[in-house]
Amino acid sequence: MVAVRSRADRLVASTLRRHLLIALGAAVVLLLLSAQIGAYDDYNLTAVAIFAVAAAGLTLLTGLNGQLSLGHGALMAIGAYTTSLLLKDHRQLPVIVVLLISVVSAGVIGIAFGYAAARLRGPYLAGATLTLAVALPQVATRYKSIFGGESGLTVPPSAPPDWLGADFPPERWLAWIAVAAAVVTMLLLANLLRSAPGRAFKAVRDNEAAAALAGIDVARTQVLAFVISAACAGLAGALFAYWSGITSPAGFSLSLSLQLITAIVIGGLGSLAGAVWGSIVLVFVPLLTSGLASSVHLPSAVADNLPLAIYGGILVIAMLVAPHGIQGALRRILAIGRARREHTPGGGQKGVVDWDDPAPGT
Amino acid sequence: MLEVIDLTVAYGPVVALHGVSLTVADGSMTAVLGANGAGKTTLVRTISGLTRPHGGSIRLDGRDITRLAPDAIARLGVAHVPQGQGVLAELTVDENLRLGGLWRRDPGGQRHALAEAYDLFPRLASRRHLAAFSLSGGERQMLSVGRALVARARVLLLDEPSLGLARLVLVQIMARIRALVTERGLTVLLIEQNAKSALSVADEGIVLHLGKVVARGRAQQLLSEERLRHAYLGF
Repeated sequence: MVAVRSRADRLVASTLRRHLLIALGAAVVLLLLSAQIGAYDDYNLTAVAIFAVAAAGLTLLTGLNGQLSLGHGALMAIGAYTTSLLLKDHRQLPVIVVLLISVVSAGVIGIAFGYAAARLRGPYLAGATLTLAVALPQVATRYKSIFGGESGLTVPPSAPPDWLGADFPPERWLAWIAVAAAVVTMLLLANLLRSAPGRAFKAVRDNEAAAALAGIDVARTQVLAFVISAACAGLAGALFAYWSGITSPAGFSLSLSLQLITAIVIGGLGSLAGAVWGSIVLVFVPLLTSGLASSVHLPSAVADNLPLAIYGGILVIAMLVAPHGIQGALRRILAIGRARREHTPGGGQKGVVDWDDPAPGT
Repeated sequence: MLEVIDLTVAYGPVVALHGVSLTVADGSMTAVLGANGAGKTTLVRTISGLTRPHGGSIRLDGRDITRLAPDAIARLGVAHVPQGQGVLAELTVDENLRLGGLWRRDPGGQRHALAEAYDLFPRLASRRHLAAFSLSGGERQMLSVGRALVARARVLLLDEPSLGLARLVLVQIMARIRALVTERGLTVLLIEQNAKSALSVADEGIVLHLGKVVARGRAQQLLSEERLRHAYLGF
């Protein structure tokens, strides 16, 4: 028993350290990578990082807390418009300040919406969030003088700091910012999920009555998940504004919200790593399919629609082959490998254990 | 002390409990007996706040908890172990146990309580990092009870722990709970269809029939009443 306990204590103590190491490693690898690739790939790397931030937030809400949101594109729009409005009046505001204010503004909207969401379940919640996705861009169209209407607001790029040299590519600078934001987001979420709130999120998702009986305030847990998720979407939206250089209603259509859902399902619902896989698929598969379509010299009517058709086909096949997403498939492959190793004679097979004796050494 | 006073609960036109009163003293175990549909589960669901009563009140140590939300009642130390569904299937054994201490602000005490739960049910320690859905019925029951202990529950509401359990497993779980009642002053309300085994561990017994209390008394005394055994308890 003593051995079991001290091992568990060490595991708890080292979780933070392990997450920090993974985050640091990922940051270093991505920074080195960004220096090796051209401006175009830096641009795509930024897109992956942006989607990863939004998808991670959605994973927390939908995958781990069981609240389906079809309106995360709208929450991204709140971050993007906050950034655009801030930069319109204060061009020199440091990036970090702009990002933080955008996170807070989306988070505040998230509180209001989270309270409504906590009263709704399943299809009703999906419907309400869908309304958000459809209605919010209309606000920008309606109040032209503030939000710039259909043509939107332009966003000045964030200039690389002087110490990086005069000819440092701005695409790489933005990639650094987005990667840093994504790594920090992942680190914070990973630690959150391994602590008490994370267990509460999952408990509420699995069985609300049982969670309440365990002393969890179900409504408050749901609001908290919504707020954190909205804050992530706000951060992604702010980065999106810098990335696209323009914030307009068309950039935050319903299809953006649906793409985010697609990303977390393909990546593996309920896992942060899955959110990253999904974002990679979301950015690179359309690029691949459009490259493929243009290389075979088809009439433009076909070539224009081919990427979407291939993309759809890939989604269907992915769901058939790996219903638990990419992360689920990876886990299964790893588990099979481990089981093969352990099935040698005397290996760790499950057996009948006497009632009172814990299995030795586990 | 848990007091239920003149409790009436109805589902639409169907009255499930009709003016039920009972008292469970600290450090004692009361068995609630009765056939299917007698209102046993409704009684515990109402005490833990999952079902709202139409009349009457519930008091914990003199404090009225009738209108509190389920999570607030749980935080006051009332742990409801529902019929075979108390565990969260997707969470690991360890995560399930930690849920019990979620709102507590004393990490040291929580660690101690966790270790205690594993000591009480060593079987859980060996399953620590497995998802709860992979557990057997008996292990799930242990997990539910273990979580109540981590929550430092003072009152345990056990809803038919015998359901689907092998007799030997049940006897072991009940022996451990009985020990907690005697040694720690745990207060237990035990819901059972199996009257004979329930009365063998409980101090007091109450027989429900169609939502009304038809008999109550010391467990030994109920066991020996010929008329009661034939009419309601079926042994």
